[in-house]
Amino acid sequence: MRTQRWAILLVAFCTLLTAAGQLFYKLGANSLVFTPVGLITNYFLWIGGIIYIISAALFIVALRGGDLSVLYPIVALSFIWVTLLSGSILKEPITNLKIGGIVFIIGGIWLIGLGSREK
Amino acid sequence: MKTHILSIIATLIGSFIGAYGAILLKKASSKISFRKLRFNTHLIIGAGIYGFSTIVFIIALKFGDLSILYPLVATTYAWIALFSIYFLKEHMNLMKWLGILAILVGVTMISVAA
Repeated sequence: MRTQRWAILLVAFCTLLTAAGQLFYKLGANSLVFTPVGLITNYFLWIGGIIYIISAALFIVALRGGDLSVLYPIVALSFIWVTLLSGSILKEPITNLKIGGIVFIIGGIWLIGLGSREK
Repeated sequence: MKTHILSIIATLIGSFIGAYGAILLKKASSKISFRKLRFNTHLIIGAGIYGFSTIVFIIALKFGDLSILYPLVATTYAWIALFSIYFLKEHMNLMKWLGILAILVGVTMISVAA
């Protein structure tokens, strides 16, 4: 089946959601009180968990719309989001090597998209 | 942190297994749509396998460096490409393989830049 655009966009959106979920998870882990009450009232963990679950469900729905070998590599976008988030929030320096890596990942996803159009 | 050899092995095996989990999730997706989210065998086993491989990564990360383990995690994309030919009858070609290679290179560049 020709991989459809809605599926590609949905997977990309899922990677954004997952990155957001990771952020909430980290925030929740920072303020973690490891007791039953502490865990239940840790709203960051709850929000992060719900975001993860929604992201996973949407991802599976997206898989309907095309080849796994085309859709799954889009998940590599999450490496880019993590790099950018670490750069802005954790103030980790975005070196030229990281920028080069981002370019390669985007280029790779693009090549896969090109390759998927051959029939 | 030095990366324990077991972390490397665990990560590689986890990627291999996780890739198969993704195959099952793809098979499960044909029975799921926005209107009906029904559980089926592929979904449960696929999610279980994928979740298990994620836990393996988390544990492996405790005993190893991101800069080595992340690129190994990225081998998942290559496994999925191979498995999709065999299990899903999908087609790979030079462009798609080059794309996978580019992603592997990119992830490695991001990971070692610390």
